[in-house]
Amino acid sequence: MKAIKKFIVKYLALILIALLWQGFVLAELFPRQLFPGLGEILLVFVELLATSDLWTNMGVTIYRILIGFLLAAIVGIPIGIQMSRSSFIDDLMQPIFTAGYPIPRVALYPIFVLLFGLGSGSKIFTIFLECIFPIVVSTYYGAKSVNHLYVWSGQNMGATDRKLFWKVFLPGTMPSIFTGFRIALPIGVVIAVLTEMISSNNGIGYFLVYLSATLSQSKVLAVVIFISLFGYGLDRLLLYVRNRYVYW
Amino acid sequence: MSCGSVMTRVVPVNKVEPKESAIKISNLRKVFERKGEEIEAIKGIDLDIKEGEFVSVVGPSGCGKSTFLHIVGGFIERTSGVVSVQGEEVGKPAPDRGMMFQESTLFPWRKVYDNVAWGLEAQKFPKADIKERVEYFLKLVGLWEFKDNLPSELSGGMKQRVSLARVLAFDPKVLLMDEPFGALDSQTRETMQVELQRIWSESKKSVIFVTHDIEEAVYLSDYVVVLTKRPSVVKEILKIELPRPREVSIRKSYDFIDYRNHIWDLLHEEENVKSIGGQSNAE
Ligand SMILES: Nc1ncnc2c1ncn2[C@@H]1O[C@H](COP(=O)(O)OP(=O)(O)O)[C@@H](O)[C@H]1O
Ligand SMILES: [Mg+2]
Repeated sequence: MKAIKKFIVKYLALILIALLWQGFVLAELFPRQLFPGLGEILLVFVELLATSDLWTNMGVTIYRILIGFLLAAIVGIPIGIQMSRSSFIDDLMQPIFTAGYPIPRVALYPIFVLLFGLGSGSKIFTIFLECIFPIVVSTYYGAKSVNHLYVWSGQNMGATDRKLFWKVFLPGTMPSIFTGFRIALPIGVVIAVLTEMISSNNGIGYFLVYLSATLSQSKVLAVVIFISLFGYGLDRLLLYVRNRYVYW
Repeated sequence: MSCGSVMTRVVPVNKVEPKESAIKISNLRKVFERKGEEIEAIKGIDLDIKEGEFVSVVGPSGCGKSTFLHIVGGFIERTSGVVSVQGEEVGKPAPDRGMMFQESTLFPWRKVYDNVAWGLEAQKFPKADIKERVEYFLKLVGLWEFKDNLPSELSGGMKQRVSLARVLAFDPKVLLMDEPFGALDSQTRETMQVELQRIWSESKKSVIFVTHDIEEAVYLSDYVVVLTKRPSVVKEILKIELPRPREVSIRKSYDFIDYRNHIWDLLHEEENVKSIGGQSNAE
């Protein structure tokens, strides 16, 4: 009983949205074609899972997200850390990351297409650019707020600067780095789909556009549900890794 | 400690010749700068602590006790003056001056065992030696069975005991302790004091122990240094001539109470200076 109650509270918002949706459908405010019922969407969703179209396109998208995200992590973490450790680099980079944050970087996507072509390159670069901001900013503030007593303790115990960095400073920054990851990853998913929708001949975003063009609205919605489940799973995975390896 | 008669030393080993200085501090001054404003924390401290002595530092809160220890530890720079340990002027932090900070600095990402081993690894102790030492010191503070726990799984008192084991494990020449038992309940605190006295009397290390607890200072120390309020100078150095080893019940003795009352008076004089306002420190 308690478990059921907890389940309902946890998913109350989702349940309400579903009910609202179904209400619209029953009221027949819009043509069924454009506004299909949940039952139909679910049916189409199950059918879709058996098609190779979904999986090959999704594979391409996952590849772009992961590469873009990994590049952002590989470049972003050192930048954030260096900014926190050197006021010169801080002064140098700060404008990029404070003034640059509100810029809608997707708007520059056409330029990236020009630079990196219509294929994966332009998408990966846009994802990279969107993901690197939260990663740099979180790493920077995390590194800044590492308890200096930990560092002093390490020095007191005779650690070299190298050991201090890897064994005190970096572990102290890890929780914030993961916070950055958790902000960046869903952004990566959205940007991947978006750029693929704008111009592509593969990927889940392209697949969405294709389905829209064929007026298969229930399929479009099924794919949207699929993407959101995928994003949710990705976040859960990240959370699992964090709780397992960065438990402090 | 160079203050008055050295003839009737109660403390550690009986020696005829004057003992070696372990820690020597002269004309120590510290001025902080914050947003262009100067805050003089320490005006002038002189101390000469001999080998094996246990010296407590008490003083009004904010008078610069932590700052003092941080300077001796080499964590912050002094504005002027000299600090030397066994004849050598101190610079950067080093394992010869083992520090226990006011709050727990156990690394939360390492198990108890690995926290104690950390300094030994950093100093490249031989592997077998590390194992032996970690086990010895964790058993000494009674926490060997918690070796696989994370610091977050320990109580405040247990954390401080692990911190003590961690600093003892790498065998510093002197121990610097900043209100190590400040956050503990009175029961645990008393247990820790007894343990510390025992460990200290076995190890013969020189200790500077900062506390705001007068009884703790009297119970543990050979000397109690009373500081004035900020900017601090040494107000008085009291030699505590209570026989060792000291039982817990020594707190009830008249001698103990005399010491305590005297220090209490000194500290309250300092507080009153503040409440009169505008006046500088009584010296
Ligand atoms: N980094 C700092 N910058 C400026 N002022 C400081 C700094 N650290 C300590 N102080 C000041 O120096 C004085 C002494 O502080 P502290 O040594 O922590 O006192 P205590 O340990 O005796 O309570 C306080 O007035 C405090 O505000
Ligand atoms: Mg203090």
